[in-house]
Amino acid sequence: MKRRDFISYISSSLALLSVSCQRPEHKVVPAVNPSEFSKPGNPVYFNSAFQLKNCAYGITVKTFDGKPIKIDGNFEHPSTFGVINPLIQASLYSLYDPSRFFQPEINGVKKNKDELIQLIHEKIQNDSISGKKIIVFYNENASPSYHSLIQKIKEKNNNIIFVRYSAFKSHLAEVNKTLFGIDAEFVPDFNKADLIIDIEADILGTHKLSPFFAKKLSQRKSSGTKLISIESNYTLTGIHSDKRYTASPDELFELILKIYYNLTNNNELNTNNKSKETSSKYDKPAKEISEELLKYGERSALIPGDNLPQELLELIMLINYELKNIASDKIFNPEKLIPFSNSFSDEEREILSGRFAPENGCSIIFLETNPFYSGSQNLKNWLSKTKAEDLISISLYPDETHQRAGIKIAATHYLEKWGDAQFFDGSSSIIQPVIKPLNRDSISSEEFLLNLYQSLDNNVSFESYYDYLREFYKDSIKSWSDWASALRKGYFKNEDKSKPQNKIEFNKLNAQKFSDNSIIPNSEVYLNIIPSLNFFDDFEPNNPYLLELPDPISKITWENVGLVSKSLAQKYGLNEGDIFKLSSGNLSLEIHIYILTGIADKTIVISSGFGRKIKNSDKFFGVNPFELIKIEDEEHSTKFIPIKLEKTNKKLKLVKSQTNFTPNDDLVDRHSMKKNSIYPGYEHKGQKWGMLIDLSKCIGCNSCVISCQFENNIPIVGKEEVQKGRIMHWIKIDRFDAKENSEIYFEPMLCQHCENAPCESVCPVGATSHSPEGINEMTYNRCIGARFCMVNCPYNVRKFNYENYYEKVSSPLENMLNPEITIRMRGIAEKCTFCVHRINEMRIESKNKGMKFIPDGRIKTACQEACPTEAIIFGDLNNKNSEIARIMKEKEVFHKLEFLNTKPSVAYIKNKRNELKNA
Amino acid sequence: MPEEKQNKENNDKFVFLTKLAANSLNNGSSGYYRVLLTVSIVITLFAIVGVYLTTSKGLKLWGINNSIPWALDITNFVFWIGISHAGSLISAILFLLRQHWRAGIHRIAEAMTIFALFTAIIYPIFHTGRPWLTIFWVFPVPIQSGVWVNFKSPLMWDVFAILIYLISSIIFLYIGLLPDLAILSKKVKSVFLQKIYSFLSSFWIGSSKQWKNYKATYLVIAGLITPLVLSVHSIVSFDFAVSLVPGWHTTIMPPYFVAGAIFSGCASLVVLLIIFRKLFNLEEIISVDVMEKVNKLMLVSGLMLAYSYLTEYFFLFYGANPFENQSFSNRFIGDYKYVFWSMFAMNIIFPQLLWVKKIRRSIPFSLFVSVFVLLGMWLERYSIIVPSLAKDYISSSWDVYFPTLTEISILIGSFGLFMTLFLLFLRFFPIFSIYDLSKLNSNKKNYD
Repeated sequence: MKRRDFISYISSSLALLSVSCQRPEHKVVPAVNPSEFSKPGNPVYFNSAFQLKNCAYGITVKTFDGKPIKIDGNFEHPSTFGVINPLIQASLYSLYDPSRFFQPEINGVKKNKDELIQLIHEKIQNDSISGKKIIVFYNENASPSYHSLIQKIKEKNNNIIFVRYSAFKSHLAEVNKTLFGIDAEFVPDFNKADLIIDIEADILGTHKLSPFFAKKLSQRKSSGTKLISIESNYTLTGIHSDKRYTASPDELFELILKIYYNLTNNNELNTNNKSKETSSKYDKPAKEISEELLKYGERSALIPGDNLPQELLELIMLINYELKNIASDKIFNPEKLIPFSNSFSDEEREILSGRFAPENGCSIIFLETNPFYSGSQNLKNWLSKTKAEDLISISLYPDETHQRAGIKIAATHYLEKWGDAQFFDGSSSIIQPVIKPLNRDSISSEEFLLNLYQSLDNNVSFESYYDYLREFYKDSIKSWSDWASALRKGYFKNEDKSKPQNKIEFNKLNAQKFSDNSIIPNSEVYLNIIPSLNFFDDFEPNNPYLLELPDPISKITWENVGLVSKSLAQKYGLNEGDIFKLSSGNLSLEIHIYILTGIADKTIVISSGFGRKIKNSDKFFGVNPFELIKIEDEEHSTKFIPIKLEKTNKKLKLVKSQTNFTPNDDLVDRHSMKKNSIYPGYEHKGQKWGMLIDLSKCIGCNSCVISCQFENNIPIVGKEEVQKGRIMHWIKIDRFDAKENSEIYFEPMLCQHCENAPCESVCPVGATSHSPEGINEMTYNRCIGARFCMVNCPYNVRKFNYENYYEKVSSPLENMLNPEITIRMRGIAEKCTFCVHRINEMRIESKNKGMKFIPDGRIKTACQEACPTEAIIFGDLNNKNSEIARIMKEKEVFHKLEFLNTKPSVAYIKNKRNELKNA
Repeated sequence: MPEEKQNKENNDKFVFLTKLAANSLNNGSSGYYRVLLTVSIVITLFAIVGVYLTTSKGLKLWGINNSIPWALDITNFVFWIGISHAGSLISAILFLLRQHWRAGIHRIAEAMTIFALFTAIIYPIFHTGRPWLTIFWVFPVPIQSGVWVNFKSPLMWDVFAILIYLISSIIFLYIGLLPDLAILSKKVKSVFLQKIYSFLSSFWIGSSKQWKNYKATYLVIAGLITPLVLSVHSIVSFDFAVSLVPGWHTTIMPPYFVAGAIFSGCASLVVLLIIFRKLFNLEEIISVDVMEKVNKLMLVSGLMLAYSYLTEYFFLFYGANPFENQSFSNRFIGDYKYVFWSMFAMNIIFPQLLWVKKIRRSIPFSLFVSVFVLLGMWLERYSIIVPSLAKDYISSSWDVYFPTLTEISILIGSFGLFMTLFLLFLRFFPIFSIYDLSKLNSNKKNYD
């Protein structure tokens, strides 16, 4: 081979390589080191935003060689300051998911994207001429440019009807509109609250702002803010609250009404005096709560779940009004509203209820919405009437709606597209693509709307959504450098002139006359459908990371179950794992049962997001509770659906990641068995790493688990392997039932990095050893898999690779893996490394800067980074001035199994609740 | 002339025994032998398939999980190591104690030691996740990387203990065989065997000086092997005693394991003797008297084991360690109660039948008792290993273990492997020691 040939081969192969993962077309701006090219092997970070319905979260995407590998919170963001939840982190998977929809098609014929869009435009024009209505279902989002496009399209063509669609419909805006003249949902400001009463809102768990609330609340909790929860389900909020009341759906209204009477001391609104005279079991809790409320006055707030019945919401907001906490500078600040959370128009309502009957029929476009999964039965029936060729779906996955549609288009992932998001406090973020769309034939819903707008209005021409965004924000972001800085920082102040001035105009006359019985229909059992902690409602279908992530309370993986109380289970003779049949009218569903003490009687709780029927994956996990919803229920509340229960003879063993919930470490008095070693310990001369976990801050949200899993390439093992007890998560959140009361508490368990590590001394080949910096290290190459370390670890944190879990990973999923971490082959043990690669990275950086030690706070472990409540602190124990050393000195800390003299480097702060005076 | 008579008798006996041994080697295999060998080989296939699947597909085929990483594998390992122990006991300790009745059975006992060790070694190798590395890395071979084994690990101690035991057992067996081989190399018809025998005994001329040295060597090696009987299983027990697992972490483990090992070894010897005396028509040499003596040994070691049990439970009660209580209650009344109580019945209650002389001397009954003892001893190891791991310190990771077909097939196959090796050995080497037997005083009627 000639030298010239050789070089030409080399260059052509390089060119081929560069084709595989391309940078996005328009200039994107990384968060730090804004250099033209990244250094090979160094990560590049991009700031962007994730939209969880109409609540956005600032995120930072870590990319390696153009491939996004991890999503973290954007800590610089002024609105959400880096809070994140498992869903946002796991949304990375759907970028690479091989079962994404790929090839656009029309009535079964494969077409390319541009042809198809042209076809849709023609169809829309034809329909407009023929008087056919065009209905666009768009997903609830927080994008101002998106909504402006909708407005513009509406103005151009009144034949097009836009319907905001989401699985759980909020009634709060409606209530705020009638009572206060504010057509939006409030974002309660916890900085001004000393007492928070959560009423079925689950502000720490399934609320759309839960990570944000969790952060705020954990900051406030240490300064004495109290949390009371009233709920039928046993939620993370209930576990974390200082006092928890259970109330069945039919009793909830009575309880709130009593609180209202106690506060107002009048019967003015009470047309039916019955409940006040008869004493009920709710007199005492009502009295306790109202006394607390009276004590704190305007510094207390009731936070209702947004899809409670409208009457109940009105009552709760009235109580809030009585507490005088709705005003600017108060908890419910009319300036701080969730963007685009306005109430539904009549037209939207009519369509969503399936009562809309256009004369000439209609075409329906689904913009990343999936009513065939999460819609009520009435809506599904109504949609089914439309012929398949009139259904157009733009979706990431071949999901339920996509399968029905005649025209199918692939959507881009949010990491592949331009967009924007508005936050509740006036800041905004630009969503920038971090990778060129993996699918050439995909289009984002934003681009689709823009194309649609351009086809209707010949005067405008934007080459791409990027140009539209620049144009849209030309007032706030004037120059390229401003734009670059907005992208780099991940946020900018949006000077929106069109923002209406919100004023509270209380209108008491609009308030309903409350009576006890009218609101909740009578039933023996109620179904409470809740957004799932992992999937929220219909996000991330069949995402294995989220499917394998155990439910924090029941610890069930890979499926959803019906949670019932013990008394209800006894009444119907049900045991754990039994399958029962739920029926509401002619709709029915079969689901496994899980008995959980603390669930209100008369209630079955089922979380949504499971039971997805995705075309490319042949397995179904769990069931879809939306199949039970009729429109009357949905308009009322998905929390209180009257339901009939029937036992079936079927039974199945539930797949749980934890089988025993009784704690046993209190068997030994911690101090009585403390031994002193006869050998002097090893002296760590340099730095010694340690971790501190504050149990009173841990809310059990699993965010750390997912973060660790993405950071360290921890494999998904699958349902069967979880059943066999082989789940791989390096950090797990143990749930325990306290012995004295039925309260639940969480305890994150990870490798304790013991000074006297029992695993190190027993490894025959010395594959696990102690570093001079106090880290228990694992040498994967040396491990022969004798498993003595796993046997001898009293904390049971070591995991074993029973097979090559990554062998079956199909392309392009391998791009998601963190290149800094090896993939472990079968037959070796692994465990938490204290993110040793991050420490080493920082060590090199500090050394280059001429520092002897790594400064405190520079290293953040993956779990620490993801924790919304900052319950995990990592640092140098040898440095007396480090945060961890300081807190360990201040607070009472303990080590797990201290009496074994393993001397763990992980310490825990005891769980403490704020005492209520009256409780 | 008593001396002359004695000499003549001895000579007759010697000739008779040599004939007997040579006949069993020359006459070819009997039908029963062939059937037994075929069955053994077929059973061995189970182990081969099981080990093949485990190595090629990974440990996912086993029932182990992150809470219970050791189960059937280590149970079987300890079980087979245990069986190997009675061999040295009979051949070395009884030799030192001048128990001449051992003459007829010590060859079988020694062979049992070696083949049980061979079978046991399969488990620590193939239970590891990467056996292809295990084979190299557990030996302290100086390699370029300079990575040394971890001498602190009890698993490392196991490697040394078992290897030493295996090598010295082979040497002991060979020395015992030496005079027999020298004689038989002229008596066997098979040219192949002749060559092997004469190679192995090539330096043996049978001079009186050599005999003197021989006797001294035998004595010394017997003396060297004797502490191994105690040490090997003590070291195996360190796998458990040295660990932190509640239910394992106790100082009674070494004597407890040694007693159990001898107990199970005697039981397996009884089973083997019953099979082979029938198979090779050795009722005269392995007489009921000898069987009774082994049974007595079994009874005594059983009592020692029972005492160890008592001590263990007393420690449990007196130590009042709540975690140990928890692990033991899992054994006694928890998920593994059937395992425990059947083990208790088989190990402690059934052997008490051997107090009755009739049962002790009855071949079917002693077969019955010793099979139960073997089963009970296997269950004992299982009930030590699995329930303790199933419920240890952190209660959130408590789990239950069920063996899978792969594990069970390796277990079944290991018996086949053991029997195959044994039967092949007996086909090509003399089953009893001609030299030792011929020395026996006929007055004692240990054979006739």
